[in-house]
Amino acid sequence: MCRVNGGCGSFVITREHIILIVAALVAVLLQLFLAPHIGLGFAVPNFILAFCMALAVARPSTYGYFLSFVLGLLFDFVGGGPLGAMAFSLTAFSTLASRAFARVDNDSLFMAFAVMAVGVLLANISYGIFMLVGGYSGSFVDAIAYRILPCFVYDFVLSIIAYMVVARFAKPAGVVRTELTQLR
Amino acid sequence: MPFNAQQSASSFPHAVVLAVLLIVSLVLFVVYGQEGEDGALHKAQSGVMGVTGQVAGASAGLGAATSGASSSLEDATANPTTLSGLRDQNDELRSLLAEAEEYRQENERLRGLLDMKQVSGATGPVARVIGRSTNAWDQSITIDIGSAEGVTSGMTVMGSSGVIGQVSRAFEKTATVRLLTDPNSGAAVMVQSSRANGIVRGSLNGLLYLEDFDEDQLPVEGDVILTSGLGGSYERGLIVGAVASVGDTSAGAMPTIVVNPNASAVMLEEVIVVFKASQSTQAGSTNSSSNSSASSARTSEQSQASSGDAESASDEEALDEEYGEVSDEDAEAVSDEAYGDSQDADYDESYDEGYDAGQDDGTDEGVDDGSYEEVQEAE
Repeated sequence: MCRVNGGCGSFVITREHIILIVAALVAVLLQLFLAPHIGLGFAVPNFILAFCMALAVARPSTYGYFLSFVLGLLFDFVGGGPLGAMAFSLTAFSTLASRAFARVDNDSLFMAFAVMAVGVLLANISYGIFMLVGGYSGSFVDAIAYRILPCFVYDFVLSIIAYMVVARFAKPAGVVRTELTQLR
Repeated sequence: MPFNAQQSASSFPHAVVLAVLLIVSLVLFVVYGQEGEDGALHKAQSGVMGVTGQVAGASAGLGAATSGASSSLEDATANPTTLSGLRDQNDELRSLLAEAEEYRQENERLRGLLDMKQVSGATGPVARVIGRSTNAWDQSITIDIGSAEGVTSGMTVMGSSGVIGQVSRAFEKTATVRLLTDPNSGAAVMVQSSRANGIVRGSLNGLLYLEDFDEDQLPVEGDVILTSGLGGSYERGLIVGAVASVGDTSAGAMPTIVVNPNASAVMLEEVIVVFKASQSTQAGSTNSSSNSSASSARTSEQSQASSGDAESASDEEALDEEYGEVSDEDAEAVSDEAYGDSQDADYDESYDEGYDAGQDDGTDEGVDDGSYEEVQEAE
């Protein structure tokens, strides 16, 4: 455990933080080197989006929007798209997903997946709107049919897998699972 | 600010920070859209993309190096006096066979590129495709040569059977090529038979559409589409594809014209960056090379087309005679030598010499027959 003092106050770097940073780096590397080669049709997977959304739902009480902002900005830098588009979409909708999941007070798998699905879809739609506004040629209907929906399906499947991994390895400190929680 | 700062709906400072991050994102987006290619954000993005492109290239080399190292390790540990040794040898032979097959396929692809280069009269280096877009909205590839080799933004890029796109960003050692199928891509083109001009655009559904076309000179299915060079964005006279379908013209509106691209970038591994296309040979040579794709061309062109087919066939035979022995003897050596030198001018010269030999014995004289003047006369 390491205590860091900064201008904004002090915070503690725990093992949990390190795991999250490593997981985020893995997501970025997968996006850089694996995603371009496993595209299906018009859909190219977005590991960063899947990771952020899974993290937002797996740890709604401690989810950090700063992480999604940084990862979104990284995606914009390496992806060649307009800067700020994915940063905005990820920050806004992963935060929205984490708060919505915290509000519903229902941690069943179905609810987690439903919230993730909505979050991934909204983030993809938001990014598509940014692309079209930014000068991308094409109609919104075509964008929905040929980019947003295929990418949503791919990203949602990835976010389910990411959720399984995150829920297992990045449990927030102090949380004790009860039988009641598991039965729900 | 901790990267995973705990949030709370009632936490005002966190809400403020969240709002600030969202506003920063929007400001970045607006500034990025407003500034030109020389803007600070574009430059920063180009810097990052250049680095990631090089890392992608290095990682491809790392994969090959890892494979080579493991192969060497197997060689070192093989013991031919035992059964396990024989098994190792067998595995090694299988590995070599697979490697030879890889070289054979590479050899074929390079021959296709060489053929295209010769036919179109294009000059420029051969580049490997080392990366593809990480973003579903961006139809682009990354190649392993950049401004250090003379590649600049705007240069035409060809596959083994036609134009595939244009260099959109050139970094020092890599370059990004925007494919024709990208919705933001547009190439000034002309119909080979009527010389009518138009623009071929990509689309979200992956098709190429011919637009901005004169209604009085509508093409028909099978018409060959070439780059016109208007606007200077693409080199003139390079084949793009053939008209696949022309929409209903009875409604009075401009029909939808779909172009079937000659070259697809999906499985592409090597490309040619066109520094200069030889104007005197383009129209005639592309005529002969594109006849196969334009099988239903107009009747007025049929005799010309058939002669072009015959020429193409004789060219193929000549190439087979020229390179067949080489590939049979030692495909590995051919690929190593040919591709190893392909990054510099020696590659062009060595292959050109071989090809010129074929031309000397009369078999390849037809390559540049059906010249531009003949096409004009036929019209």
